Amino acid sequence: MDCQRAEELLSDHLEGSLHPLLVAELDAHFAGCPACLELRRALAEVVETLQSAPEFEAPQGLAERAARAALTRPRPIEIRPALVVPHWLNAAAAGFALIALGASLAVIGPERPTRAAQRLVGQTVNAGSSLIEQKDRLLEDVRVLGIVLSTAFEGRIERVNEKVNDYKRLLERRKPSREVEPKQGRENGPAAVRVVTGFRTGATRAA
Amino acid sequence: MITTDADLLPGCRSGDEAAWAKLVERHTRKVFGLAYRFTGRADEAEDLTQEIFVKVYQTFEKYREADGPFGAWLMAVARNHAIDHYRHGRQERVRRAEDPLLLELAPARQEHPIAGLEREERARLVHRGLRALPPELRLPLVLCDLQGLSYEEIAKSLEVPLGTVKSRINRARLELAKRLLARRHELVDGAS
Repeated sequence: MDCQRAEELLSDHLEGSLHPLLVAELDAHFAGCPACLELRRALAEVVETLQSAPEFEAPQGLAERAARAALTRPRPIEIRPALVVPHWLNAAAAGFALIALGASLAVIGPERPTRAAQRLVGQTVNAGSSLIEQKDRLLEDVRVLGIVLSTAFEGRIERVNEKVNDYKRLLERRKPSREVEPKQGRENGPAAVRVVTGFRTGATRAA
Repeated sequence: MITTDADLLPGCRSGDEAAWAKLVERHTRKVFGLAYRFTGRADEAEDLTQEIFVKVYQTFEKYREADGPFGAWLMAVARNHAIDHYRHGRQERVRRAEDPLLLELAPARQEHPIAGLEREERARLVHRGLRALPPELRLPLVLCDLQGLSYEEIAKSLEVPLGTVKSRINRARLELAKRLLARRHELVDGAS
C-alpha cells in the first residue's frame, strides 16, 4: 500500500468502517511510515476538535434584529385547498337526478310526451341545477368563512376586514342572479301545481 | 419560572410579538453558530441568521408538536436554508487568509491552563482551516462533524452521490490535519 492509498482510507479507518483485511494492510503501512501514522493521529484530533466545538457567542443585539426582521416581512397567506365535496353529496345529487328522470319517464311512458310532461322534466332539471348551484354557494360561503376565521385567529384585524369586504363584494355579485330566481320560480310555480292536479299522460290523451 | 418553547408557541401563533422575540432569543445562539460554520464569516452569518428566522416565521404554521421538539424542527429549517444558501452560491465571497471577523471560541470550563491553551490553539487552527476550505469540501464536513448528519443524509441534502460525500469529507479532514501538522512543525522548528 502506498501513502496516497493510505490517505484515502484514513477516515474509514478512524470510523472503524474499513474491511479487516484493509485495516491489517493499513496498520502494516503505518508501521513502516511514521508520516502517515502522524497524519492519522492529526486527523483524529481534527475530528475530535470539530465534534466538540463549543458554540459561538452571537453578536450583541442579533436576536432583536432577527426577530424584528421576521416581523417586518408578512407571512405568506396560506392557500388552503378548495373544499372537497363529500362523495356522499355528489352521489345523493346524482341519485336525485336519476330518480327524477326515471319518475318522469315512468309518468310520460313510451308515448310522445305531453306539454305537461315536458314541463315536469324541465322543472326537475331546473330544480337539479338550482340544487347544485346552492350547494356550490354554500361551499364557497364555508370556505370564505374559514379564511376569515383563520385570519382572525392569526390576529390580523386589517386582513379580517379585507376578507369581510371581499365577501360583501361576492354577495353583491350574486345579487342579480338571485333576483332572477324568484321570477323563474313564479313562472314555474303555478305550473307545478297544475302538473300535480291536471296531469295528462300520452295514454289518456289517446284515450 | 423557566419559559420553554412550548410555553411561547401559542403566543407566537396568535401574533404575540413579545413571545416571538423570546423564542428567537432562545435559539439565536445555536442558529448563529450553524450559520457561522456554514459561511465562515461573522457578517455573513449574521445575515444568514436573520434570513433563517424570517424563514422560520413564514413557515411557522407548518410545525406540529407531533413532529418532535420545536428546537429540532427549527434547526432542520436552518440547516436546509443554509444548504440552499450555499447551493445558490449567494454571497459566496473569496475567502481571506486572515479574517478580522473570526470569532473567538469560548474556553472550556474546568480545564488546566496549559491544556486549555493547546486546545484553543488547535481549535483556532482547525476552524481557520475550515473557513479556508472550498465550499464543496467545507459543507459536507460541517454537516458531518459539526451537525452530526450521516453520510446518507448529507448525500440527500446536497444531492451528490454517497461515494462523493465520503471522499470529500476525507479530503477535507486530511486538509485540516495537514494544516495542523504543518503548524506544529513550524513551532518545533522555531523552538529548536
